Order: sequence, then structure tokens, then C-alpha cells
Amino acid sequence: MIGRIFWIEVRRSAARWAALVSLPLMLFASSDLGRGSGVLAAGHRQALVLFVPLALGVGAWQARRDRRSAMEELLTTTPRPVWHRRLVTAGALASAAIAGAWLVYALLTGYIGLTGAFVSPSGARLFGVSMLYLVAAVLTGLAVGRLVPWALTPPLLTLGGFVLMILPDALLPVDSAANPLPGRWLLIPTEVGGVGRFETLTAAVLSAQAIWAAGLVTAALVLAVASRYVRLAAVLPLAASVAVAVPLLPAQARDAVILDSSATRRVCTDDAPVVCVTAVSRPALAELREPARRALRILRERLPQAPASVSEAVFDARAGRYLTPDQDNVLYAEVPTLARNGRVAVPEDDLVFGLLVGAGTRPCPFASALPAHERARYDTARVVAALWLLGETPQSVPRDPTWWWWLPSEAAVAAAHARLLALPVDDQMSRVAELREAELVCGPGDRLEALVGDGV
Amino acid sequence: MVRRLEADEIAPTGYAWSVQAERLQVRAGRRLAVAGLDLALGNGVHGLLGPNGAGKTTLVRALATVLRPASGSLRLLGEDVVGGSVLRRIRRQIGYLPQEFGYYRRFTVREFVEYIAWLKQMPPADVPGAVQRAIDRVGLTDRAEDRMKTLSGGMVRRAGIAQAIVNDPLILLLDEPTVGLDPDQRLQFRALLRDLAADTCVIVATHLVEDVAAACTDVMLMDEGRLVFRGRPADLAAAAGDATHDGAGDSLTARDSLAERGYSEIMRRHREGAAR
Repeated sequence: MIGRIFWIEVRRSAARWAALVSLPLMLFASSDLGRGSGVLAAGHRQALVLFVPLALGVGAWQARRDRRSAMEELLTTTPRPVWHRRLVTAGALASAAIAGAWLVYALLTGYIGLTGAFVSPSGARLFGVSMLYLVAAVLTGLAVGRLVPWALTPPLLTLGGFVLMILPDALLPVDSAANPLPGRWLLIPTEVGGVGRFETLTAAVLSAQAIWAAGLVTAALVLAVASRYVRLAAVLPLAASVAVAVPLLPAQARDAVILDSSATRRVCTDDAPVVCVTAVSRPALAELREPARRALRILRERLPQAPASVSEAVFDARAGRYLTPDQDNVLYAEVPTLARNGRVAVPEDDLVFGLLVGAGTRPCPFASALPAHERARYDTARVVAALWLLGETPQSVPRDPTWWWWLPSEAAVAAAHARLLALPVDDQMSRVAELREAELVCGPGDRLEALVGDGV
Repeated sequence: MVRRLEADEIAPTGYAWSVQAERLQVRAGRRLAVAGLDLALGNGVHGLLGPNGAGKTTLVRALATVLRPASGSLRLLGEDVVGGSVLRRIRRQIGYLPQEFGYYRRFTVREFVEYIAWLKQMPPADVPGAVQRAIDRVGLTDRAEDRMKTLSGGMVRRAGIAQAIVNDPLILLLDEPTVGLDPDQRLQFRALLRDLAADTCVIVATHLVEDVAAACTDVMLMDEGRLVFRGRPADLAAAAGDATHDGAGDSLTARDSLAERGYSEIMRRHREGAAR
């Protein structure tokens, strides 16, 4: 019987709206699907800024159903304890919110899997913890709606929830090395920063968040279901979960994110020259293979010390360094898996160009800290080296802003390129080779000046 | 559909009256709407008549355990209406159709009646059969799978009656049950009441004197929170005598029913007596 009543509530209560709360993820995440299910789960976590307020509103709306339906008097005359009824409704809402969100996640992950893009085990764990926050929001809405049974409670709670969700970002200081954000703020589900395609949260942080969210769920359930005096017991799960969760959190919020070893795992071609990408970029391997080998051939033909294989470069933004140290016999590629199906969304010629930027080297980590004009000179030198290797003119530099947004101005490139070509041919080669060597060790110096001479 | 009776349903009861009130006072807000009522009702259909504000709805709400008596005593099914397990036991045996009948608009008729059956803590195995029987009895069989929000006013009222009778209550409280019913439905409703009368104490609060005259085994008239008349429907008609004016001084004609004229005459006499 209870199953039948539960099913009626799932279909006829606001549970159907709770099931739809996570549906906008279909829109938010659609362009990022090629980056794997880990990014999808992280995207859902960030989207809790919107989903939590919606869930609060749905819960509060449901809480007013008896009053809205003028059912209160009839319900008063029935013998079943009130908490039975409330528990079934709360269960229906929570289950629907979870089922709806998992369905969206499963559909999108299924699509990701079908396209061969990366399905991350850690993404499912991250998403599972996000579910607890979502359930906590639905039940909190139910509890608040019950305690403050006004017609305006659902919209006000939705608005208030939204403000609460964005408030930390507005009030908390920007996380920086000099002023790091304390780890306790990680109890706010969205305060985990951008989790990139190679990253995930540490097991300790996920555990802490799960414990805290479970405490929230229990407290909200008590408030939503229990009678007047039992409601006070809601403090207990809150206090207990904080006491257990906070010690699990790192001292600094930035330490919550680590590289996901399953995402950075290498996948290589069977034949030589070997081309390797990360598991995340696996769908791009087939398209990357030929451009990568073309780039290797060009480097071999034009430089004395050329790399023999290609490997995807993975930059650990938290550590400020690349995952693997530079090796002069490896050409590092940044794989632009921008397409929804995880495939390369860049023309082959552009890929070759990208591989030859900096004479086949990754940008040095110090470059990101350079002032704008110095960064432009640095990038100009790297682009001119690529043009020289390709034997192309500055007009052939790709200009698609989604991938080549960082390129320096065409005029600066053209001027530097002309100066390089004005040098004797042997000099040109040695200067490009020197730029490559300097970039491999990330040594000091003005790259543009070293490449095309004084006074540029 | 014939229902099998359980042994405990045909066993003799341990109480004389299904409803027993002594000097019962019930407040509606600050106002004393039921002011010292003595009442003892057994099985049968008891019509509760009275002008607006007479205290009918307040009395029914007290019998439905919505309102607590301000003073006096109220015994339902032989037990004092107090809180806790006694109240729960009594409520299992009550069916109630409020005057302002609210319902979940998105539920189907079957789901709604089923939900109320669950709230009335009926044995789960009995629920499907009881729900179907209640829906059949109010003539909503062909609309059982329709959403409540799609029903007409009369159908909603019938769904309200279905939820009230789903648990085969020993006390059935119906507040204005025929509002919105067409003449044919009202005839069917009266037949249902007569059917229920054998083993149920049915209390029907209404403005419609002819419903009471046609379907009730006895009639009670209330005014200003007190019982001013109790008798059979025939007594109500007999009270009409040769009355030519109602309680408000307006003319009565032969086209007004005997029961209505009797009701009016009793109210007139009561008010004249009260004025003296």
C-alpha cells in the first residue's frame, strides 16, 4: 500500500518538478560533452547555483499543497500520524530529484560513452555528492514551506536561495597564493573552483561534503516531517556532520582539486612514430595522428635536434607545472577536444600549426605571469617560429577565436617574421633551434629578441 | 457490489449511542456557535437543519474531531473524544465530507479515494475493493481514472462522498452533501443514505429541507447553537399545519413543500418563544 501511495505522490505532487530541476544541465553541458563526464559532473556542481534555489522553491511549493487544496480540515480528521504522510511526500520529492538528475547524467554520460569520449569514474562520485546537496535543498524547501506557510514563500525562498548561493563568491576574497581561501568553505558545494577535464576532488573532500550534505538532508527531513518538539532534534545531525566533516577538509580550498589519474592515463598509437594522448582526448587520437606525424617530419627536416614522438601536454594549473617534465625527444601537443562528440574541432593544418608553435614546445609556465606586452612578444616569437618551420606567411596564421584567442596581432607577427627571413638562412635555423632549446628548459630571456635580433 | 461483513462488524457494540453529547459547547473562533447541546444519536440518517449561523457546521466539525469542545462532554462510539490513541481509534470509524471540500486537483478520483483510505489506516488488502465499491456507490465508476480537476461541481461532491464512505464508517458526517448535485443525482444520493442507515449513524447538515424529508429517519433543527426541534420528517410536515407566514414574516403558499412550511413554522414559534 505504501508503495502505491508513494507512486501516486511521485506522479501527482511537485515531485515531477523536482525531477526536472536538473534538466537545464542538458543545455549547460551540451558544448562540454567532448571533455568527458568528469567535466559534466563538475558542470552540474557549478550549476547548483541555479538548481539549489529551484529545488528550494519546489519543496516550498509542495509544502503548501494541503492549504492550497483546502485539504487541511479533511486531513485533520484522519487517524494516520501526520509524519507518515509528510515522510511519503518528502521521500517522493527526494527520490524524484535524484532520479531526474541521474537520468540527465546517465543520458549525457551515455552519449559521451557512445562518442568514445572519456567516461570518468570520479565524475560519478562527484555527481553523487551533488545529489545529496540537491536533496537537502528540496527537503529544506519543504521544511521552510511548512514552517512559513505563506503564498509568497516559494518565490521568496527561490530568490533567497539564489542570493545565498552567489553570496560566497561575492563576499569571499579571491583565492590566491597570498590570501588562500580556507578549506572550510568547501562545505559550500560550488566553492570548489573550476574542476578541469583532467581534475577531480580529493576523496577526503568528497567524503566531507557527503557527510555534511547528509547532515543537511537529515536535519531538513526532521524539520519537514516531525512535530513541534521533535523539530529541535534537527540541530543534532547538523552539529554532528560539521564535527565530522570539517577535520576532513584541507587547510586551503585550492587543495581540494587534484589531477584525476584515470583522466591523464596515456593512450598511444600502436605504430611509430608514437602519438600519445590522455584518456580524455582518446577520441581525438585518430585525427591527431597524421597532423602530429606531419609536424614531426617538418621538425626533423628543418631542425638538427627533432623530437621522435608526440605526447599530449597536461598542465597542472594548481601545481603551476606540466604533469610530465619536458623531454627534448617528445613533441607536446595541446589537444583541442572542443567538439561535442569529443573529436577535434580544428582543421588539420591548424593542428600542425599548433604543434609547431614555439618550434614544437609547450609554453613555459612563467609566461602566464608575464605583463601583457611581454606576453605578446613571447607569443609572437613562438608563432614566428612555427611560420618559419612551415614556410608559411603571417596571413596563414589561423584566426579561429575559440582556439587561437591568444595569438598576437598579425602586424607584430608579420614584422617579426620579415626580420627573421631577412637573416641568413643558416642563422634563421640556428635561431629557431635556440628558441626551441630555451623553451624546453624554460630558460630566461626575451624570446623575440633572441629570435629576430635587437631592436624589435 | 456486495461486501463480505467481518465478525467484528456484526458483533454487538459496547455503547448505546454512536454520538452522545451533554451540555456540549463548541466555539467557532471567539463565538460560542454550539451553546449547551444535548444529543444522543444511534444508527440512521439524521438530518440537521437550521438557518445560516445556527451552528450546524460547527457541530459537525466537532463531531468530526476537527474542533475540540469548549465544555460539556462529547462521546463518539462510546469513547470520550480526547487525544492520543482514543482519537485515532475514533477517527478510523468516521467518514467526513466538509462543507468546503478540498481535494488534490491532480489526483484521479481513484487515487484520491485510495489516498484517503490509506490515511484512514484501512487494512491494505481491503483498500482496492473498498475504493472501487465507494466509487461505484456514488456513480463515478466511469470517471474513476479522471483527474479530480476535470470533474464538474456535482461530481466533485460525489467524489467527496466516496472518500467519506470508503472506510465503511460507523459515523458519517456530511455537511451540505447535495450542493451541486442535479435532481437525478440527489435521488441517487438519497437512496445511498437509506442504504447506509442500517449500520451507520449518518448526520447530514443541509439547507435543503426536502432532502431531509425524503431521506432522513429523523430531523433536528438548530438555531443559535441550540437544538430547537427533534422528530421524524413526518413531524416536520405536521408542524406546517395551516401556517401562512414563515419565520421572517413572508407569505407561504401551497407550492412550498409541507416540510419546508413545517420547518419555517417551527423556527417562527421558537423565535417568538425566545422573544417572550
